[in-house]
Amino acid sequence: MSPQTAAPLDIEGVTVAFGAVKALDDVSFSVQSGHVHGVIGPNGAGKSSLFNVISGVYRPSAGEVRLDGMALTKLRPHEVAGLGIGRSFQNVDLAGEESVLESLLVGRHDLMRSGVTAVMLGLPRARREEREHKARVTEIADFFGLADHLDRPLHELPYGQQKLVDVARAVCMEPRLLMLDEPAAGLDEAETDTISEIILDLRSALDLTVLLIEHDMGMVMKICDHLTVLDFGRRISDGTPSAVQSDPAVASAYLGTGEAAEIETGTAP
Amino acid sequence: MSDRLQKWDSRLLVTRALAVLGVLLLLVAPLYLEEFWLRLGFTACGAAIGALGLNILTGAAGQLSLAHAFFLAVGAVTYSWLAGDPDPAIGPTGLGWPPVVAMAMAIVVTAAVGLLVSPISSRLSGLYLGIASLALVFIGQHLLATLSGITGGFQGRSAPTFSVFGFEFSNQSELLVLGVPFGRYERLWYLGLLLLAVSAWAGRNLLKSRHGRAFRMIRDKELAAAVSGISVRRGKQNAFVVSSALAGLSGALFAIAIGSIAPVSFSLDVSIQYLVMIVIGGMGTVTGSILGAAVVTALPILTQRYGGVFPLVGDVVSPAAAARYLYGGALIAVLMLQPRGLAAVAGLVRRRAPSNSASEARPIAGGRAPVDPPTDTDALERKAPIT
Repeated sequence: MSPQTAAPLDIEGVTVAFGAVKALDDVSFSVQSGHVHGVIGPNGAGKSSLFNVISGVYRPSAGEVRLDGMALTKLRPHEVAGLGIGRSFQNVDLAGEESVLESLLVGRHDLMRSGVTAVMLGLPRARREEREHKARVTEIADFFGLADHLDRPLHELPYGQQKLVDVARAVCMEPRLLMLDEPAAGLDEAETDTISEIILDLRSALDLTVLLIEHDMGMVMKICDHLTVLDFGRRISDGTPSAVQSDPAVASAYLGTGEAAEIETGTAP
Repeated sequence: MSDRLQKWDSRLLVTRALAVLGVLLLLVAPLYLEEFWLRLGFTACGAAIGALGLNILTGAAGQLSLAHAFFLAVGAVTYSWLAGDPDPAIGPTGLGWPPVVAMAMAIVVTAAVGLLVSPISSRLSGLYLGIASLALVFIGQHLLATLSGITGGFQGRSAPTFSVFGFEFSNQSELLVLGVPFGRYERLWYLGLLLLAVSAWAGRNLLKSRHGRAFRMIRDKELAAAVSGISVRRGKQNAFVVSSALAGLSGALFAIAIGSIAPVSFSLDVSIQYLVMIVIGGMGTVTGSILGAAVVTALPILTQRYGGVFPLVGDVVSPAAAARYLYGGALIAVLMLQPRGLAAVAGLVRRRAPSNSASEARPIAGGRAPVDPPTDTDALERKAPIT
């Protein structure tokens, strides 16, 4: 297989309803390949629902999601993952007992092929596959500064590093689109800078498209090429960070009218 | 390499030495032990293989199953029927297959039955799966009682002696090893050890592999597993089939150990005993399966035999009742003192010193100290998935 490249993502008229509540209401936008694209909005705006639709966890009642022209909306989550979408979670969603190495290798599951019988019998090709993938995972861990912690149980790491492991696990999937759900939540300023740098580095080193949910406005303004703003399940703004920032609709929905100044403060590092 | 050797913890060396010693003792045991112990050992080995199966399904993959007795029954019946005497003086007929083939078929057939059930089991989880799996035990009991041509009905049927290429695991032919006559249970002792060693090795390989990681991820974070590219249904199915296969082998060994099978040996009680084994042994570990099976198998038998040395036993309470009290008490004690089971106790002894990398001072909380931001984008190149 030839190396894959960053893929564009199209969201078209996506609606998700839980009973009478519409978590997403006819949301459309496009993510250009190679962009770091931010999705922002107040709590309950539908950001995580959007991620769940893209991942195949929720099936939308209307609309379509396409990765590089390929419809995702009928696929199950692991099939979506198999097409090259890696996702990290808001709360570290890994098993704490596992070592960092094992947590990262989980991301390689779909890239590995050995069957149950082959691994049980310890066949040479199964062992070789495991070795090769460990080597690649070690490279990625190195990139994240996690190489020294590979053998430690995940729960022994400080929270900031656990979040890095979760992002690294998604990168281990060799994705074309990397979806990050609040990677900076719960991190201090230095850690937030670190993760911002990592995201930009990853994008250029691995030729990725990045879709990012984040509340930290400073980070969003600094690293995003494009922003989509959701409020109550609807898209209320879409454009470059500076265009979105000066959009009155955003200011009123996001902060209440007259508090637009706060967004601007957020941009100052 | 040599400096790795130097870093070997002395405790690690001691545990290695103890392990080697333990294996040697197990290997020479039949020269010294009487039949009672050898028979108990073989039974425990068979049970350990079954417990390993359940531990992969319930301990590693988190799928609560009460159906283990059913799968044990499928293995036991398959072996007894396929290898059974085609023309016995009493009881149901068998097909007269070579016992080793019958044993292999016990594994295959039980795995196939597991596969057959897995479309249902892999769509359920938690208590719902537990209750649904209960149905299999009832169906099993019914089939055992009614398919009497194969199972022998309520009376059960005899289970044929095991043999490989004409070598019988019985007292028929004479065999002297270092002056010690090797009869049925001396021979079975080695069969049990060998099969358990192979199963444990395969089980450990599985748990260390991509499939083992998938099992644990499905158990702990099902959604994250799916989003990471793991097919949850497929994973549950794999765990179910492997678990069934090992139960099939365990069932066949059980039949061989007892020499006969009957429905009562595969009741719900047995499923629960296997759950007890993996819980007190240690969930999701190979060592835990073995320790748990050894304790659960041996404790009642030993208390019955040696319970008389305790005061009151025999006069006030019968040895059988004492065995139950002791068993129950031991169970509670393990769960209170070490909820992660006997394997965790063994792990404390075996545990290595903290690895060197962890002890080196490295700024952890500050995040990404070791990485130079790759202005050079070659630092991490995208690679095609390794195929």
